[in-house]
Amino acid sequence: MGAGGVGGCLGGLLAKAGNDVSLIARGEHLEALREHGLKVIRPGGEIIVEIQATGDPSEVGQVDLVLFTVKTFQNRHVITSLKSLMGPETSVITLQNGVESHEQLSAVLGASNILPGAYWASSHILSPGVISEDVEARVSFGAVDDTESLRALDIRKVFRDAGIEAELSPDPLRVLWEKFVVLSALSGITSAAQTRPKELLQFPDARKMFCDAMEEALAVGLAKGVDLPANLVRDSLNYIDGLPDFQNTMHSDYEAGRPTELDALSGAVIRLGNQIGVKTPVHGYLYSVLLPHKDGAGG
Amino acid sequence: MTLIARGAHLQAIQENGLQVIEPKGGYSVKVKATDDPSQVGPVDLVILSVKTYQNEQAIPMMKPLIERDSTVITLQNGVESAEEVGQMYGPERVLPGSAYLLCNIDSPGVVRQRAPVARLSFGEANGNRSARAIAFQDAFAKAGIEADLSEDVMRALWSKLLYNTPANGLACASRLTPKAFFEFAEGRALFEAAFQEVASVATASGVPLGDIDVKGAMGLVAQRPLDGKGSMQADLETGKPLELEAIVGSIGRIGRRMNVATPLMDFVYALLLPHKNGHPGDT
Repeated sequence: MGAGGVGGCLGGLLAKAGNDVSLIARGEHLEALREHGLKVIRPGGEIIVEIQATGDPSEVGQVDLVLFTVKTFQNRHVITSLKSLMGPETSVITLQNGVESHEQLSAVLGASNILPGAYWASSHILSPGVISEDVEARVSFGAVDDTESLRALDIRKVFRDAGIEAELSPDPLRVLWEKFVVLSALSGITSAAQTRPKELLQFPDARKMFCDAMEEALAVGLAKGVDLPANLVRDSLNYIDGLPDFQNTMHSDYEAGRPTELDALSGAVIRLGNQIGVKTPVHGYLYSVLLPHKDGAGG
Repeated sequence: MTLIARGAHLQAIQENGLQVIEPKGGYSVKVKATDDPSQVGPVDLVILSVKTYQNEQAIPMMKPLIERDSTVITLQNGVESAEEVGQMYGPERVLPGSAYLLCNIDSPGVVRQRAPVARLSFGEANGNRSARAIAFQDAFAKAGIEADLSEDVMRALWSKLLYNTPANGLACASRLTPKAFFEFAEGRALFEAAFQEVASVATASGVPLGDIDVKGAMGLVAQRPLDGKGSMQADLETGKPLELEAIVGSIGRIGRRMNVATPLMDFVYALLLPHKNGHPGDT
């Protein structure tokens, strides 16, 4: 569900490996997928694959596995439409930004089938029907209650057989939050500064702001009882410093006048912080200055 | 009267004189102009009106203009100019001041005044109505320039900055005009927090600004036209250098000296640092 950078890349690789995959997409991307198939440009070459694609999940019927990869701001409209895909044995892996997706899905579909996951890579739609995977996809997922189910092991095997680096996490919420702490801070500051991480983080004042924002998200996670490493902020800063020059997705979306995932990032830090009594002033500032643009240009 | 200028603007002034376009009318005038103060020699009055980020270069350049009885009136954004000039030439030489007008270079040699308001406010730092201050006020008046002699000129400077810092800083951070950002409840809350930060720093540095000033500043933003941009915002959008240090950075700097926390202005400052020196090549 959602055939953008994440869903398109994973769906393409799974289909190439011989799995029965349907992409659920929209607009001219969907049209291109139907007419010309899907092209994924990978770091080490490219694949082209004929693939089923539709705009209507009810045309697909019940499946073994749903990869939930729409942008978070679409959740409200999309989650109910998953029902037609769900059978008693269907698993759903959420691979969205933020830390709330699995709860939003569980509320509608029941908790037992939902596996929270995180996607580490950089991929985006290059043009309709074409996905660019700039960094090789890595997926981490697991059950919230750490049941290493046969189903989860099966899914991992399917990923790995398709050449996707996949790991089962005994504590998927920890994985989600580790990503969230970095991503919420980085998305906010690079969007508001309209500057790529490499350039922005040359400035000590900006590094401090980045670390302060990560500390806030970390404090919220710890207060919620997520088991997060104490040196997460320092390690994350080193990790970002070690990456080659890149542009954050929310910054790209903001710059291009598209809707942004602000609500699932800084918005979630503030919301969850309020619920549990943790102050989040930097994310508060970021949210306020980015809010007018969150629905895209003219929104 | 000699203008110190640079580049194409200087050349145009030297060749064709200076043209001033006013909201109703305008005039042309032949005026001496140079980029080398040593050709001018000592003067009675230096008006320092370069962009604040040029002070580091410009203030030492003023040296040939200054002799025992020379006075400098600073007409720049921010509250630090008088101190910067005073450090090099002695504080007694400086009359801090502020210009309330909306002007820009239209094309080389042509200056456009974009709003009818044009007023100066200046005075002795200690508030005295000194003979020299009165003499300069007379000279301004004879030239048709409305100039108030302020008995509390630092208050005038801080009052202007109280409004200018949030109006420019938050507009740049939100990429909206001040009024457009103010229309959002979140924007309004940030404006109030920003005004309070600047007021606290002003108060700690000896210029008490309080709730009534914050309220007044809120009212000024509310009355702005929806499409009216701040000067720093216009510079940001056109890739020009920003007066970030004088307009935003100064609040954090002075705040730290006075032990006043300025988290919101520190935030805005950090966001805009990559754009401080402009982006040559952008349009």
